[in-house]
Amino acid sequence: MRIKVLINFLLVLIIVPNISYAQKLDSIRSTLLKEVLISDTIRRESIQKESSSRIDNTMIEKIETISVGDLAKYIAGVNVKDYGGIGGLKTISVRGLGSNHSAVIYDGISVTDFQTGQVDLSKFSSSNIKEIRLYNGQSYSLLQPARALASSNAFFIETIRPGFDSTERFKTTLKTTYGSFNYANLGINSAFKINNIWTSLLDLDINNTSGKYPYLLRYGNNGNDSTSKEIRKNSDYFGFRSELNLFGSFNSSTDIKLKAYYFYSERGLPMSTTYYYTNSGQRLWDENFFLQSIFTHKLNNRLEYRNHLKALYSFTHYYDSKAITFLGYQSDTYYQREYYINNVGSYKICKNFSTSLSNDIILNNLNSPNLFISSAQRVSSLSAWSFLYDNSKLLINANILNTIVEDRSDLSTTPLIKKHFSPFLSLGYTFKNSITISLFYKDIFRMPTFNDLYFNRVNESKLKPELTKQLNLHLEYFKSLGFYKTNSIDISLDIYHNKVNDKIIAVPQRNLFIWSVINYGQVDINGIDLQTMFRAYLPYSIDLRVRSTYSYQYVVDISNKESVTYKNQVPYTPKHSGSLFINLKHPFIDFSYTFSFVGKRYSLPQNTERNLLKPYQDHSITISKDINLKKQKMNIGLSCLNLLGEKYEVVINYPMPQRQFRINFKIYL
Amino acid sequence: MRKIKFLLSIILLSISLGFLSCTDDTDIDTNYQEGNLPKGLFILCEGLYGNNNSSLDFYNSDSNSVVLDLFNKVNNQGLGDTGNDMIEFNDYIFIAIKESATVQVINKNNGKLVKRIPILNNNGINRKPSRFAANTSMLYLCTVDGYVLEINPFTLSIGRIVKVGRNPEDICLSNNKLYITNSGGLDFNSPIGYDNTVSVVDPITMTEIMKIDVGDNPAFIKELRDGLIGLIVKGDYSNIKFKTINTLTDELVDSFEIPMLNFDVLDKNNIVYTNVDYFESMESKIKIFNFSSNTTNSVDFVSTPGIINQITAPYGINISISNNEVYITDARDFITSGKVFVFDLQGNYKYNINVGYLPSKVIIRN
Repeated sequence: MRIKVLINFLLVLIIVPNISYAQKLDSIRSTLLKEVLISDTIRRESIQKESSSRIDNTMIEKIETISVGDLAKYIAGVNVKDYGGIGGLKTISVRGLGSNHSAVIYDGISVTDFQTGQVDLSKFSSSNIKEIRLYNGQSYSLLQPARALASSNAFFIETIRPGFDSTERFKTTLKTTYGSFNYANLGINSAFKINNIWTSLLDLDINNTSGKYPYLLRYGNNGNDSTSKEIRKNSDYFGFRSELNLFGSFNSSTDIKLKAYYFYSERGLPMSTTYYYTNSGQRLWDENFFLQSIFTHKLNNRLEYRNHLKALYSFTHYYDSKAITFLGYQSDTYYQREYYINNVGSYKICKNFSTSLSNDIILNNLNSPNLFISSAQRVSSLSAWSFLYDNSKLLINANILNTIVEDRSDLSTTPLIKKHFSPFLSLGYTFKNSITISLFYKDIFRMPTFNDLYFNRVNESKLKPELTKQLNLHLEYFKSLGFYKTNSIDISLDIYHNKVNDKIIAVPQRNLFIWSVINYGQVDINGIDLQTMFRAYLPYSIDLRVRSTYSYQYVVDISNKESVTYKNQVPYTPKHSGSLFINLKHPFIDFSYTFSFVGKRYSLPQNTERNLLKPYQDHSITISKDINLKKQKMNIGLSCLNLLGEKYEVVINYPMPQRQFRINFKIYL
Repeated sequence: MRKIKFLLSIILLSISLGFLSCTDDTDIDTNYQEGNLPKGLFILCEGLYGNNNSSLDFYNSDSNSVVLDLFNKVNNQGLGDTGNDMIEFNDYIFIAIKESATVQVINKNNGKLVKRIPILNNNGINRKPSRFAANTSMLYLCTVDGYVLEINPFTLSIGRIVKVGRNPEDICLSNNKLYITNSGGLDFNSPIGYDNTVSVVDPITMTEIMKIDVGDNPAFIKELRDGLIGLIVKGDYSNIKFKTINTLTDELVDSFEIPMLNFDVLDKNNIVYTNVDYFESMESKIKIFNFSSNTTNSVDFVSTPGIINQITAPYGINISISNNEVYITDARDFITSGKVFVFDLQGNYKYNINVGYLPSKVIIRN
């Protein structure tokens, strides 16, 4: 089956170029150059006052990554929890708040998992990603769904959307990558201009790896403890993603974006590296299908309307062939459905002052036919009323969000109802068009997930939402020189104080296999994010980009003064972390270097030597070259990831791959 | 995925419940020197699932100090994941490491590893070693995959095996027969549900003689006196019972509805049991119960005031008549390191020891 798919793709690879020869194309080089210039100027028309960190398309293209999870570690304030390998779960936790507090927004609409409340970023391949941006607090945009305002921070993933010359109608990019541990990837991104209104974009991506990477198993934390060289087993991954987008632009005031998304994956779960025994029979199948639409209509100069729609179906199948059960295996299936509608309208009251109303209605449903709780449902209504004053120097953004959630499950006949009001306020000022200072305060919460409520058996009904409070000061300096080939520098500093109350934690009930989930404890968070971006045009046609981030996070448990964990750093939050990206672009060759650093962390709440996870660093390089064929452009890239072969773990007993090589080819048709 | 989730939930438990600190804390012996061990206690700590942090700690009673993770310090390797039980035989201590599919055999005098015995089935899959019983010539190990294995304590090799019920939890010897509690705990959320039997095995022929119906989810089992064994039957945890079986007739004798988590035998008529009221007060209970009486009335074991409040989650209980000591291990919040509280047989508090994660079992070295 898999082989067949591969063959089909190879056929596509051979056939598609021939078709495209028929297309008359302008000089692609000049087109691309234009694109870069346009995006540069748009970005800097007004200086953004949000506290955010982003990775732009240049960086995404230059560094070799497979999923968005691999990219997220370059964002300031983000800790990626990575279970290793391509199929390893990758979730983000921003500024010590825990992964359930981040909204992940894919092309304008939230991606959700109501069962765990965490989005696995390894499911989003980076091959069609244009930009990812993390907004601390929220984005100031008025025309966004209420759900995008309902989290402590929002992680926006935006996919590539093609631009066309007036003469072009068809554009295709083919990409293939091969690498260590039998990694192979084939991708096609094909845009077609149907007529002056409609454009379509098809993106297909297929990944496969054996995941058999070597690692060093250490039988203890001391330097002289025994070690053995092992190979990661049952770590294979196969993933297929297809996306079909339709963009309709009826006139300057009305447009629609439609997307159909399908994802399928099968992977082995290699489990933690248990001493003296590793033999996992666990496998996981995932299937995701969704349809979404974003319709925007500008009624007049004051009134603008947008509508977001989404329908999602997801299926997860967990199977353990080595479970010691009566049946001799364990097999759990979970079905999730979501129906989502948002209506948002904004109204310009006067020149710089606007308001908007946004309402989301969400229906969620989880079924698990072979567990003791077979279904749970949630209906949520989120309404946000926002104000924005922006005269390009002074900015004031405020909103109030009202959340009503009603849950029903097999467990109880009476529905569980939660209501909440959450405020947000932000002030910003820009001096001399180069220095920005802004402040935000956000009070928000996360609902208990279906797992918290229904799959842990005891005491569920008393569970309250987990509350977070954030206070953030943002300082940014931006300077750009000249108009064409501008050298620019951008430095930003964020100082923040966060607090988590009523943290939702799981505690063992009677024994280790029956857990109950309770609200307990407080976390106190103080931190700094520092980011710099620098671009210079050097002699010999060298275009230099340097981007760096540094984060300091002091995230401590302040639940109980008597506890041994009082003022201990919360597990898996490094005090120091950072990254560096350097790109040297020359017409002849392109060189990129990335570095990421994560300081010491603890795997458990007690900050003892025994629970210490050592700091690690990752150096990676990519060398790529554009080759101009007769009519097409080609790009060959060679990468070495984890150049120094650092042996490290992000999550305890989940070793990460050591040195890896990848080669990739891209053809632009 | 379930296991990943389990790990996740452990990690999620990033804030611990708070507890009163105790006085008379022991010192941590960081200057431990290899060699013959002094008098003291071996303490097995289960560790947290998936963390490879099971430990065998050693309490030096002369210097009142603890060597944490003695096994690692002596052998330059960790004990493994989820140390479930240990038993002594002559100069050896046998430690069953459930997730590591291993029985570690160490020399009791110096903590050195003598042999590692893999506990795998014919397909190389972990049987999950659970608990031991011993007579004068043989060790018996029950495994979660539903078997009892002979381990020859002289040759350190696995002998015959016999199939019993689902997911054995504990094993004991009485009247020259082996009694194994079949919990069926791994099927708790499937249609078949818990197992509800105690298997009776003849150790001479290594065959299962019969199964006794005892009720859903039987757990810890111990010989109370000659010809009588007691066991905890947990059911769905809301109606926990203590039951007794006459091993001459292999019939149930008594059933008492007493919530308890663990117990050990104090004398011919009394057990000491532990419990935590997780649903209401969160209070720990350590009580003496007379199983020869016809009531479920229990009396407090701990006689020193102010001590019971310091024990958060009594986990294991080991009574040593010869040493005149009772060891109550405290798992605390199941995510931070535990303690062992030591009492005399009259329930007077003596001292406590800071140890590793989820301490469960104590063996005395004289």
